[in-house]
This record gives sequence, structure tokens and C-alpha cells, in this order.
Amino acid sequence: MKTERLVILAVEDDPGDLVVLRRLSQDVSRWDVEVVDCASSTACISRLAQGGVDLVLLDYQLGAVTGLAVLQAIQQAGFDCPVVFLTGMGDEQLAVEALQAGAVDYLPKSALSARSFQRVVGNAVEKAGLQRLVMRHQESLERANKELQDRNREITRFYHTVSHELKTPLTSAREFASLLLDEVPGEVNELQAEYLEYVLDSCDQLTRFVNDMLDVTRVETGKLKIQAQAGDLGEVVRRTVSTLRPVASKRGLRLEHSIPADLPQAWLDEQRVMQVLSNLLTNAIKFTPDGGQVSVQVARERADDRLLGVSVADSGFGIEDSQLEAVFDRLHQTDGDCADMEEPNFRGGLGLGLSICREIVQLHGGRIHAQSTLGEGSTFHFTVPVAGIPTQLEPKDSSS
Amino acid sequence: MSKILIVDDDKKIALALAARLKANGFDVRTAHDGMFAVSFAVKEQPDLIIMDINMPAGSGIQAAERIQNIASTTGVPIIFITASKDPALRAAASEVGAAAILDKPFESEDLVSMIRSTLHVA
Repeated sequence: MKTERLVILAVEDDPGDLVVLRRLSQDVSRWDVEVVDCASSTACISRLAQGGVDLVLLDYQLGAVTGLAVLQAIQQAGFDCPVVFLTGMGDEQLAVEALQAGAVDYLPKSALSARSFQRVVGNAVEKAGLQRLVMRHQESLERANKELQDRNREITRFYHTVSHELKTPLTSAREFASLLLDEVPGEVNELQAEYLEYVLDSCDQLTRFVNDMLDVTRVETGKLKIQAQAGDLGEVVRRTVSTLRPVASKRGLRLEHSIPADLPQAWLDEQRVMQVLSNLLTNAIKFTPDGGQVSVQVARERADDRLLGVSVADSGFGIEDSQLEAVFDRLHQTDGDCADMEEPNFRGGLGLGLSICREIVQLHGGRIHAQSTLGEGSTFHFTVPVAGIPTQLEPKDSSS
Repeated sequence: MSKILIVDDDKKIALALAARLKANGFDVRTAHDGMFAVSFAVKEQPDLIIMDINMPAGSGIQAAERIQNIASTTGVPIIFITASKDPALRAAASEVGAAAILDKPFESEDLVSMIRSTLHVA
């Protein structure tokens, strides 16, 4: 049953050939074919402009002009209608040229039959349909991609705005609490002082979030930079551990570190490496049950002695194998975090810390990864280069 | 007693800093915009100015520049406070003779010790 109508524009100046084409089109079983005709390039373009043409059959020899010139005119006018060439005797070589120029197919006049006509027309129409489909999909993918990029930029800008807007009220909240605690306006009793300490703690926690958000916007815009120089990695570890020791002690956690005496100088941005270490230690403490253990170990890398390695091991819940890489993704949260914000298991955090850690380590030319055994604990390991290794003197660009 | 002028469009921050500095034995004045800060500086002749960089009416940088260009206030040390990490702003602050730049949020002890070392008082 013929259900669909197909309009073929035959660009043909030979009345005899037109008669043949009209007759052949009657035999097409798949479509109800209507053949319209014109005999010049200009007429062809103006007919295409009216719309509704599904296929152009283009005679290669059109008086003084060649079909190729007509094809070019069609393409230049921006019509994506499929074009099939009708070639005469000895035109086969030209047909190849036509295909290269963008014709869908060619039909030798010498071999015109109901079958060849139906096959070539059918293929051309199908191919054009598929091409349009691919094009539509590609367009929609490009649109989706652009939307995602816009959204990403919006999020980055939002982080930036939010973190800036938070800083000012945070400064005044912290300062007023600290004024009270220092008894500037008057005496404070013990319980009041304890509560004020909580206020200060919360302000400091907020400050860390705000700084993390700003760092993420810097990563996104390629503005996160490190200023590396020769430094003492052991000292960085000692300082960070001693800052976090009170937090660990409060939870009854053992916090240990081991640093070899003959550790060579590292090539690092001390502030940034301290940030990485502080992040890893804070996580380790957060995810280790009361009474557990967190240890930091520094050593020259066994596999590559141009690198120094830092391991932060905890006796916490551990991380699923499938999550070991994902934890470094931006906005990654552990399942417990996301399940229910009202749950006691909710451990908060923006899911930014480890993604920033990875960025900082990579800027140093190092690597970071996690290993874990569920129920026994996790180890986060990162490397920084030994000072004085020429190839590593120039830190990697954050975009790479 | 050293006289300090605090300029911050956030009145709460100015108030908190004023309380802190008074508690540390300084004579404190506050202003909430750059224009007012300039005339106040001329009138009060402070020993040191704490200046917020981002303020709606005349930035801290502009105010500092004008203060440094007025004969009676030229050379007064200015400590800038800012929530911005923009390196261009920092460079501009150094250019108008910043004694120091302090990032918000900061510990008030840091500000106090910065003031003391700028004024060379123990």
C-alpha cells in the first residue's frame, strides 16, 4: 500500500527522458510519487524554495551547464534535499566527481529500470532521512552540552558569590563571639564561655567551607595556582598533626605520625600541602569511630625516588571499592551523607575537599589515591616531588 | 594613646573591631564610607587607619589614595581588610601604600598584633 507521498524534482531538459522518469515513478510501490520538472538551475532553485521536494533528480548534461554547477547552486542556496545524478553514456567518471561533490547517488540512464529507479530513489530518501536524524541528534547534543556548560558556569559563579557574601557576616559573627569570650563587654560564666567556643568552632567550620567553595571556583576557572619551593615536608606534617590533635583527642582517637630523619627536601607549596593534609586528616578523624586510630606516614616513594609519599591511614568504616575513585569527584558525598540530613549519620561537608586535594597534588606534579578495606579502614596516599628535580621545577598547569 | 580610624561599610564589623581595639587600649573612631573617611581622617588625624577595600560609596583604595595626597594626612599607615582574593585589588592596595592587607575573616588578635607592629608599640 502506498501511504506516503514523495515529490521528485527532475531537473531535465530532455522531454523523452522525462516521459521515461514519469513512467518509472508510477511503478514505485513504496511511495505515491509525483514528478515535477524544470530545465534550468534558476528554475530548480526557485522550485526548491517553494518547499515540499523530497529528492532532486539531476541530469548531468543540461544544455550548456553541467549538473555539477546546478548541484553547487543547490548547496550554496542551503538546501539539504538529496540529489541523485542521471548520467548518460560514458559519464561514469563524472558520476564519481558528482558523488565527491555531495550527490547521494547516480542513476545511469542506460540502466534505467523500475527496479533500479526504486532502489536508488529509496536509498537516497532513506539516507537523507537518516542524515537529518543524525543532524537533529547532533544539534540536540550540542544544545544539551552548551546548557550543561552554562549551568556549570552558573554554579561556579554562584559559589563565588555565595562565598564572598558569607565572608562579611562570618567575620562579624566570629568577632562578636570572640569579643564576648574575651570578656571585653563584661564577665562571662563557664557555661557561657563553653557555648561561645561552639559559636567560634562553627564560624571556623563555615570559614573552611567558604574557602573550599572559593578554591573550587578557582579550579573551575583555572585560577588555582601553587607557589612551590624547596621545603620541609616533615615539618608541614608535624604542624598539621599538632593543629588537629585536639580534635582527635576529643574523640579519644590516637593520632600518630612517623617521619624519617633523613627525609630530603620536598618541592612544595607548604600552605597548599598543609591544606591537603588537613583535609585528609579531618576526613580520617570524621570517619573513624571513637577510640580508633589515625596515622600519618611520610617516606620516599619506593617506586620512584624522585617523589616523597604521604599516607594518612585510619581505622574507620572504610570505603567501597566502587567509590575509591569517585571520592575525589567534586560534590561527591558518602551514602550516609546523602541518605537523610536529619540522620545522626549525616556527616556534612560539601564534597569539595578531596577534589581540591587532588587538584593541588596534581599541580605539584604528584598523584593521590585511596585504598580501603571495609570495616578496617582507609589509607589516602599522595606524592610531592623531591626538591631539585629539574623536570618538576615547573608546576603543571591546572588545566591539564 | 594611639588613635585609630576604622573604615568599613559593614557597621557591625566596624563596631566589633572598635570594641576590640578599645579593649586593647586604642582610641578609636569609625567611618562607614570612603568619602566620609577622608574628611574624618583630616579632622581626627589618626595614627593608623583600618580600611575595608570593597565599599559601595568610594572604594577603600580611592579613599586611601586621597588621604595619602592630602598634606596633613600623608604617610599615615593604612591596613586594608578585604574578603576578596583578587590580585589586582591587592596590587592597587600596595600601590597606595598599604602597610598590610588582612583577609576576612581574620582573627582579631592578628589585627591587633599587626597594628602594634605597624605603630612600633609593644
